[in-house]
Amino acid sequence: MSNNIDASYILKLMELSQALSPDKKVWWKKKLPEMNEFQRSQFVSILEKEAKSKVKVLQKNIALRKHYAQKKVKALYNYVENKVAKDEEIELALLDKELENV
Amino acid sequence: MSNHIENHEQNNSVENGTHLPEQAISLKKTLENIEVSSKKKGKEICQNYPNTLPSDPTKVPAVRKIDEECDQKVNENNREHSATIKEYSSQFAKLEKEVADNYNNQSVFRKEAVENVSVADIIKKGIPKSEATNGRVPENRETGLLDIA
Repeated sequence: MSNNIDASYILKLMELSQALSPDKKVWWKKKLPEMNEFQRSQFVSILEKEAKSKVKVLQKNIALRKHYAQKKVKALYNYVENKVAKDEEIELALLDKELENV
Repeated sequence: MSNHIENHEQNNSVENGTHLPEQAISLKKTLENIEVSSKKKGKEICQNYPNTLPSDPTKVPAVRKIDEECDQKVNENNREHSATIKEYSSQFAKLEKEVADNYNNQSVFRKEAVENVSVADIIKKGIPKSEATNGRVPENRETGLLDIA
């Protein structure tokens, strides 16, 4: 990728970067035209590595959130089932007691 | 199977740098959507069983526990990422120094170039001697280049 370096691509990558503070982003933006091709490709390479790692983190977070969202739905339905079963049990016990008293 | 294909496609596109910024932005949105729809779904289930469930799903102990576990795992994942961010920051610092040094060297080179222009060279290039000061050609302050044109 680093062979095809265009400014808008670099700027987009810079926006994603957490390793660069806002004032550093301004510094790099200014220095971009003064950088030689090798430095520019090094710069893009670091930015791409960071973006790739960010993408991987996001993919893992998405998988985690999806997994736990499904777990939550199951937990809620389990809660409903258990509560209904418990209520029925209590009702039956009360009925039994009433019958004993008759 | 479809999950496997999805993961495979995602991994492939990570290797392909051209779409990296767009991919990261789209994944960020996906993550936000999952968080919002998960909360919505929880509330919806609670509304469907008003006599059994509280209005807020997080008041169900099992759900709260799952939420905590999920946040913990996500935080762990983010923490691992922050270590690599530090590494990139140090790589940027090194490159920053190199770029700054390179810029300074170029400035020194320009200065030397100016100082090495002799009066003879100036006359040869057809510039009136009166325009030169002490045998030097004035430097263009904006471009840093010799004003010989």
